Amino acid sequence: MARLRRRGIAGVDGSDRRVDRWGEELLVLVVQSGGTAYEQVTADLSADGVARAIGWLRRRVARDPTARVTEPPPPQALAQTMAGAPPRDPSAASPGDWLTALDELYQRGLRAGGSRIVYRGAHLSVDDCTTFYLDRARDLGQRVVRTRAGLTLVAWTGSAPAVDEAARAGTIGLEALAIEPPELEAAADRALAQLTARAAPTGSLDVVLDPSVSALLALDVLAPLLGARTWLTERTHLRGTPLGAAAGAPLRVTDDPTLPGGFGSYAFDDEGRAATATVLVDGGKVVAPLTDAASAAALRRPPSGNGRRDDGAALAPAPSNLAIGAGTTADGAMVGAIDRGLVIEGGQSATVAPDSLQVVIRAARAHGVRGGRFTGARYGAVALHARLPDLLDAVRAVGDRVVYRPRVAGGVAVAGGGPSIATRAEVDRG
Amino acid sequence: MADLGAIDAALRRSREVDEWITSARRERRLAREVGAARVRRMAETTTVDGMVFRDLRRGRGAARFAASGDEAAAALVHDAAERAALSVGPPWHLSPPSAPARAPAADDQAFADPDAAVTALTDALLGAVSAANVATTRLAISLVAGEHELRTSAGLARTYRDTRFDVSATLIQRPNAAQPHAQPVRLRARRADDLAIQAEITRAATLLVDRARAAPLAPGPCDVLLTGTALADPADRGYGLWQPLVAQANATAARRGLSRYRIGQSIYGESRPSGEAITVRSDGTLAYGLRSAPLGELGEPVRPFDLVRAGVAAGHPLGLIEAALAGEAANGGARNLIIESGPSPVGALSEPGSRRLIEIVELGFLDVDAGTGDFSAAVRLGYTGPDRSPVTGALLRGNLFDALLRARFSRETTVRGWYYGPEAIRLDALAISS
Repeated sequence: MARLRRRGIAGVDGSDRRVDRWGEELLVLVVQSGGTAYEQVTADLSADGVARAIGWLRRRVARDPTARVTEPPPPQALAQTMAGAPPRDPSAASPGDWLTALDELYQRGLRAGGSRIVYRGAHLSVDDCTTFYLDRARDLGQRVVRTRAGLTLVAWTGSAPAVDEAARAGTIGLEALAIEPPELEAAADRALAQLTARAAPTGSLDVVLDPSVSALLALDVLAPLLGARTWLTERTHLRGTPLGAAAGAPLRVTDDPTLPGGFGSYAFDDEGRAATATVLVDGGKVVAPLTDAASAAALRRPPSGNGRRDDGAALAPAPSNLAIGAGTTADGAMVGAIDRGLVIEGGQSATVAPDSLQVVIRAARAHGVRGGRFTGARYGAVALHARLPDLLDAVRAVGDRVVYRPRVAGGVAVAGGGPSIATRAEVDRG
Repeated sequence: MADLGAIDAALRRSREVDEWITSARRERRLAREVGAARVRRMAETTTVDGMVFRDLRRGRGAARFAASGDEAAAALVHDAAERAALSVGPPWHLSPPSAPARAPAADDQAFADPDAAVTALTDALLGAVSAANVATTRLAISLVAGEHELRTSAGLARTYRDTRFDVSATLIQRPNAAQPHAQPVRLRARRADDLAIQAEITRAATLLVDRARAAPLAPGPCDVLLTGTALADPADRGYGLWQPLVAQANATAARRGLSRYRIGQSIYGESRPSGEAITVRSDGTLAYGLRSAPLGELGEPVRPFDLVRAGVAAGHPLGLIEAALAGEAANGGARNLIIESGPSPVGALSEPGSRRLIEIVELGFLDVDAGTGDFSAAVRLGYTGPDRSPVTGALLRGNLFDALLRARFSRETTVRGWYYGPEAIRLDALAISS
């Protein structure tokens, strides 16, 4: 596999303007012999560099007395490409164009929130990655451009910063910067709302997790439990646990690298396996893990096409766009699903213990609900505690719209998605 | 690929660039996996990159560059200089070069023959697992051996080497059972000997047995004695429970007025500590320290500094640019953390008070809000009662700044990767929830 990567970051705030673009190249050579995979990675893609890497690999295999190198079968060339140029191709724009577009976003943001916003910063990051995968049976090529852009707004509560953001991300180009004033105003309102927020009520409460929170549940709780490494090493307790069935809202979780515009999308994974959607949890039952070829073989399952690697690092199973399935309740009607409790917004982090399935979710704010309506009370940061099966068994409604959140985890671009979920959890002040 | 010498020559010739920093890193990464998949991996990468600085009317322009492909050095420098004209921030200047820290960071034997070092470590690990009479599902060993070269227009020209070993293994008991007990082991060190493979595998095997017989931890108020990896996980990329102390000292956040406290202010706010006031020092000059290095990312010398002195914010981690903006000497950022020990022996801290005392040796996860200090941690294994009965499975919740008000630190000290400090820390009046 050879990967040519152009990356760039840019930022504009009150005192700094910066734009950086750089390139990275990577060649991964793999020989499978005697049950062992030998990998040689080099960043030197010149003819000499490639020849040197082949020489190193040959010598390493030759030193292993258990290695058996057999003649490969004749190649069967297949061509598959994904034309990845987005509408506003970042690589076709100059650094000055990047800064101009980013400056426009920053200027639009200056009008959002007024003087109580103490810091505004516009940011842009671009990862333009072209990958060629060649082996005895396949010749593949793809270009994937991933762009994230946004405006961060910070208010000051008197003792801590209150941060919010309007952002866009995906396998898209500079169109990610087209964040309009209403979105910026909404982000400023969210940051400023924290200035007057009260401490949230605590205890076991009905809650509606907004999509920013349930996306974290997908990415940071379900994805680690559904990864083949966890199955092979920790023997996750998730298997055999019917998830959400008790509430009549059985969980469905899908990983879909073919999602159009998805931040974690690709045409083929880093082992050259064609991208396909994989249902991981269906009807509340875990039906498949995320696998690369080696872990799939160990688990005696077909690979799910999730073999991914950061530059130079080890290949490992990782999600692409992993989402909790949508339900049937309109987003606007979700609050009606709970009588008395909180709507939780602004997911910040989620963590799970693989053995006990204890989950902690942190969120920036909450809104009070009584009689299925908003009370108007605004609360500050909250932490939700629950065992994952209990959280899912208490689900009483699931929203009909899935929203994705991007993440670069261990150098690999992924996205988590989720709908609004009405359930019950132990609420603590965050 | 353009080399460092060619780029330096192009930078010296350039009329657009006022100051510059260049660096070259050659890294060899070896990895072995033994388990479901058998993999031998070797990665050799050379990175040549740097920063150029331009003094403009609007302030100082800065841009990074990285050599890649076959572009000429002059073109690379010109492109970076053009971007620097666009990327303008407050003015500052490179300080004259200072002596790098004397911080050896390489295992010489492993550096000379990484393949042999990884083979020896694999054998040692397999031997330790066999001696401990436990099964494993996966063993992974990796070694990164790096050579770094840094040059600046201010006259700095230094090279140094480092190595880092990573070991991860999962020990299991009753491997054929539907729900076998598993015990992860994650080790990280500059030198192979510092991994203490035999001792760590033996310790993990003991924890595995204790965890298999551990009772569920009942919710309620408690006092806590943190020991083992509950104090610090060497494989943690941040600072675990101590992350808020480092995050609040961040110089950029402080410059923007976004930190919780300022230098000279109490980290406890308006409260007064009833326990021992904490002192935390960053020291990246410790010999073979996991986060030790002679120089920081941009060639600034690494120096020890106090983050918190007797409960009072004392210093910022300062990279080259933040130091120049602040008009202070750079210290290379936060490195190994040294938490000052206390007067009490571990035995005295292990005495229960009015609440039950739980000695927590391992966390299942740790979730810390670096801004507020709020934390939740799953207790993977702890001990309680006069007979030290093993307990597991509940959540420890609290706020670091609040908990430090009542903290007591043991006299005995330990080293766990980036953590140098008390062997045990007592935090009273916390809460366990189900």
